[in-house]
Amino acid sequence: MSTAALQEPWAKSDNPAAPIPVHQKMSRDDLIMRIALCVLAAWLVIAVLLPLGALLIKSFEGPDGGFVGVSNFALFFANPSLTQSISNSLSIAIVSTVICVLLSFVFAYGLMRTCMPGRGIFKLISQVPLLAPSLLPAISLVYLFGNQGFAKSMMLGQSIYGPIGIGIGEVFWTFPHALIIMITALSTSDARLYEAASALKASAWRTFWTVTIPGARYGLISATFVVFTLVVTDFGVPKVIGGQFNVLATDIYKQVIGQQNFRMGAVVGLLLLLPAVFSFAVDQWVQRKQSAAMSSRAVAYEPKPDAFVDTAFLVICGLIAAAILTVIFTALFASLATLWPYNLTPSFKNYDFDNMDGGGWQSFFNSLRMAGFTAVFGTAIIFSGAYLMEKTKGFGAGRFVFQFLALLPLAVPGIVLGLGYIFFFNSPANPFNFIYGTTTILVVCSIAHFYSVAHLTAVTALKQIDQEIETVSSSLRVPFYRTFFLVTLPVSLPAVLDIAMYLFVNALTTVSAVVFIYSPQTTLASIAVLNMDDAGDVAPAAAMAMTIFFAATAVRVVYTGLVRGVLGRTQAWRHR
Amino acid sequence: MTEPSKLADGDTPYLKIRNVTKRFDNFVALQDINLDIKRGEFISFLGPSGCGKTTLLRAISGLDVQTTGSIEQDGRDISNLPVNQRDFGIVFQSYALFPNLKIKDNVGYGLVSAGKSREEIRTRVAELLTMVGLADQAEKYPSQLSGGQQQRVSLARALALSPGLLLLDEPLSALDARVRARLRGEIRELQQRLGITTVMVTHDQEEALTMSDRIVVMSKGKIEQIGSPDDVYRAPASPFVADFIGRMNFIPGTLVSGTSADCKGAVLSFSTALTYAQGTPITICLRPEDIVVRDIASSSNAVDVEVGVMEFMGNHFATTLHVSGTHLNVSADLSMNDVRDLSIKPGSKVKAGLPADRLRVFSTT
Amino acid sequence: MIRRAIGIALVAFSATAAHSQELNVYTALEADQVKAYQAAFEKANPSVKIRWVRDSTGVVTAKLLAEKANPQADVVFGLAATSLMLLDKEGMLQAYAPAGLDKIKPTMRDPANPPKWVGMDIWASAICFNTVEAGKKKIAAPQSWADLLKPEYKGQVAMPNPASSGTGYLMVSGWLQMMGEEKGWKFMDGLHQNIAAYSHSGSKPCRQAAAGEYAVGFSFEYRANKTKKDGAPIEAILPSEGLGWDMEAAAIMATTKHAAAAKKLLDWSVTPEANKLYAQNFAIVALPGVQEKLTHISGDVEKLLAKNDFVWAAANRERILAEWIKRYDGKSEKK
Repeated sequence: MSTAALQEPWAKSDNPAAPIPVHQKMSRDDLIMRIALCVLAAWLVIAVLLPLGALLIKSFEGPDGGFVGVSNFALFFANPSLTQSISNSLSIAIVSTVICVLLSFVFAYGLMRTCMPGRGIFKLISQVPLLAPSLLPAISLVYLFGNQGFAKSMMLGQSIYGPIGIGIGEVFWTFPHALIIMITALSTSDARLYEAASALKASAWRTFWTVTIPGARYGLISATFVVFTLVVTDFGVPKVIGGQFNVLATDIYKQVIGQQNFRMGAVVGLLLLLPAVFSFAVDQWVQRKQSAAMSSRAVAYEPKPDAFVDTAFLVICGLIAAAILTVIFTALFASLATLWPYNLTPSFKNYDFDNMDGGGWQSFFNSLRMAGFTAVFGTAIIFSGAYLMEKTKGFGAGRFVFQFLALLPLAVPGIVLGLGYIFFFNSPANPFNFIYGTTTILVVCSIAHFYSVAHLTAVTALKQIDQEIETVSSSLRVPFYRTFFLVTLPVSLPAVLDIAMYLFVNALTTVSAVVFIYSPQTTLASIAVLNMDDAGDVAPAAAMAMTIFFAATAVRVVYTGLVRGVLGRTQAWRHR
Repeated sequence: MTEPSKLADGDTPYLKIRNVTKRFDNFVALQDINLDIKRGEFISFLGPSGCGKTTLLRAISGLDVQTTGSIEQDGRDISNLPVNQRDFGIVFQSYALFPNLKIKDNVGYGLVSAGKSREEIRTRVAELLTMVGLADQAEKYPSQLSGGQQQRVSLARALALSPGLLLLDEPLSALDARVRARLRGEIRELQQRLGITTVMVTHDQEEALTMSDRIVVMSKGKIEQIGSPDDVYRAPASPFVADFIGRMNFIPGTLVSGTSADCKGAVLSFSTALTYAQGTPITICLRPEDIVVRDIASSSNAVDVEVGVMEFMGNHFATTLHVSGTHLNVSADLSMNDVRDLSIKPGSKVKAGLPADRLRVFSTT
Repeated sequence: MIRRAIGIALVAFSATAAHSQELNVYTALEADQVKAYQAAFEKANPSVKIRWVRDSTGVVTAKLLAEKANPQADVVFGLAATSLMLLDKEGMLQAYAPAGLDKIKPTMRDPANPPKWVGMDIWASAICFNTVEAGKKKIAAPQSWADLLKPEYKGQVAMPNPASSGTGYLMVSGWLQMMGEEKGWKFMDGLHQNIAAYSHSGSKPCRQAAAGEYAVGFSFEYRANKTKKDGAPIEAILPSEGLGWDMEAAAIMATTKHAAAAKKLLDWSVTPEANKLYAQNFAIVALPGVQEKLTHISGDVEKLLAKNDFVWAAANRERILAEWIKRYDGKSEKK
């Protein structure tokens, strides 16, 4: 008797000479899902990939449309004022990034690691900058620190127009983006490490450097690159307050809008793509590291009250929050003054948009409509796409390509995407040329521009649902779409609303993605802010920015109510 | 040597698995699997994680089809059919209940798409819920039920369309020990009542031993042994099976004759004669509970032992015995009565028997 | 299937365009002017609807040139004559003699017959001077361009960027013609030392002066008049050396598919009704006898207009702008 004894008679069955590979027949469900996934992938190709391709081609085109190699690039680097913009862009981005990441780290530390009072309110205030276009802080800064600013003395004789103004404006605008990352980074640390550190009698200072910072390092890296990209590619702040300090993002605007030099615009656009792609790659790398670093056995850190620490953070966070509110209230105040600074009597004169540049009140309603369409269609497309990508069986290559396309917009600055849209959609040879100049193209561009974050939200939500639900459904021979509408969608409703909210607010406030593709019939509120400021109507620009802010805030409030009320009732199953 | 159980001639298998191989890139998850399952049989796939048991279940269900080989169910070749064209109900470790649907809607989920009338569905759902003892829970949501209850709902849902085959993927692993023990009996009872052919994947030998008609022990993508629970426990076909199921002493030695071996100085004889040459290295397997300290029969290898460490296990003592005059140590489970009656304590010297008919011998080569 | 859907959409698209007789009109007129013009025109011609594409002179010019291969505009209405001459050189304009052409001043039309473009009004540079800020900072009101080279104006002057703003270009072109090229550039070099900001639009400097952001804003007489009327503490100053100026004019694009409607707009442009509307905004308009004095501008605009050779200004536009950008744009952050 030995192990070799396992000689079952039936095991010797007719062994075929060469086994034939089994190919599973495709079910109707599989076929439909694959086709749907391909359709959505095609949509992304049209909305993201081809416009970028058109941009790339344009940058190598000569004045007559022929291929001229890198001569456009040579022309760019031969122009000292344009190359100066590169160093301006980089230096302003580095300084803004350092300040913003430091402030957001301190603020997040106060929120997550101390017992200072009012953390809820502070968190709420910190998100306020997201509700306004990036032009708003810049306009406020003019009123605060401009030559007639009421806090001009704080500038110590320096001019707000230029790097200082851009820096402050960018820090304000990017602060909530960095803060969200820092909060996540600080919320995942393990309390046991702190207990071990204190058991080893490490000083608070040493614990901070050996436990806190390493724990948050991926968050710090991620925030650094996100903020850096946002600053390099933002054009709202430098446009308003940059004075003669040129940066790449305003150059692209000047080249394209001011001089209609599309080829040079394409060159600058490609250059702007570099930092964005680079930081995208770093972010992807960090995400992988971070998820690996998180242990499921970690114990959440519970801060203990400490009078000194809590007071210190209350003061610091209070100052930051006060600064944020000051910016908002300055814009509000300026928009309500009859004639700044000589007649401060409150009036709604500046809200009489119909007699100014920018398209009047119609712009605001256009914006609401555009943002509404973006939210509705965007949510439908993005959630369906994420669902199909997650749930389609097999078809690995297709799903991989889709994932790539869905994440690609994250690496494309809005202004670059918008420029690509001109080249791609304005070409008479393009069968989609008819959407040029319509609300449709603005909606398509906005959905594409904000696709990735919404897509990731949807994927995360879908991953939290039991993966076997689809298996059970198909074993019960229920078509996938029935399960999608009956189970997946209702269960994911909070994430779906989140996505809709995100798309709406961003579409309402974005400038960069749409500045090249709006038409006289589809002027937008955020663009109106830009154009009014351009024409010197700064107070009305502030008024329009505030109108956007109030609309975004109102939608946010309605959304919160919706989440609390409607979800509370329809999602009874969530509670035991 | 025990003959592995196999189907009687002329008895057509309900599920016929032939030469099934599954490769993931260069990794072979299943290697040339052949298996017949009778109609109405309860089969368990048992093995450590990574042995291929789940892969085999997924091939049967069509979730991940095999690379090569064929599977026939009830005379129909299902090798390349998509999931929704096969005939099975499935229960997962995670229950996979639809969280936003009431219990009755979960159970009736497949019935709606099958085109049944509202009345038919209501009757069938009530019947199924009664069957799993949850008739009064129909209006609740899954999160309002305990884990054991949820798994019963999942079972009812899987049985709703009266499938020919029931697949259970680690159905009890997420439950706590008491619920698990109770549900084991319930599932087995239900399966026998319905006579439904059932395949269960488990890594829990106790589960497999108590519920199955036959157990398929798997390792590294191959079947190690197929047999009744008693077979695989009493007569493991390989050291792997011996080690994986139950606890086992592995005693190395060399043959001195066809029926005896020298194990670190102790000569042990066994009842099955071997044909290997003298001096062949072998391994002797012996379950700790088979070692006796009283009523030692003449057929047993009687040895003097010294008691070493004694671990109190509740209903018995797990002890280490040193065979005097040799280098041999063995583990033995001594009953409470033995220990009390013979006043055994660490250091005691007693006589022990290693019954010859309980020794399983495997060549080491 | 998709192609059919697109086809249907395209048909629907062009159908609507045909029915309502929409005219794509490119303009550099001020946003607060176009409303009144549009209302009056559409009242007289109910069958035609204007769709404005409005931006500053430089932008509109560049846009028209960029679209040369596939022009979107039907009519250009209210663009600097120097820009229109540029378009004419590219062969993009259609000759048309609107009914009533003979009544307008002979200087205010393209000399060709029939003309490629027809003048509407003249817009001239003006300085907006904030008296309140000047009082605070003890700055005297400038009387001439030369005054503005004085150190007391350092950091107090805003000027439109000539590359994007027509107002900016007419100033630069005016200085170069009045002073001669060499002296003109030297003047601008000096001026550059005092300039605080170059703006995208010609209105912004005046509005900045009105808000006290800077004491002096280079702009044009319409904006100065209007801003003062709105209550800003400014004085509209016409520098004594002379005013750079340009003519706002209208023209039909050679490629228009709506020639009949386009001609209606040109016809309307030379009517007394239209000229009366122009006259509310500008001191000098095309039709004699209509113009009236702007309330808040002291001094005679017409008399102060510098000698201006449109042909030269148009022909040298690209070269002058390139030189200007090289000298003052970008590299000139204030320390």
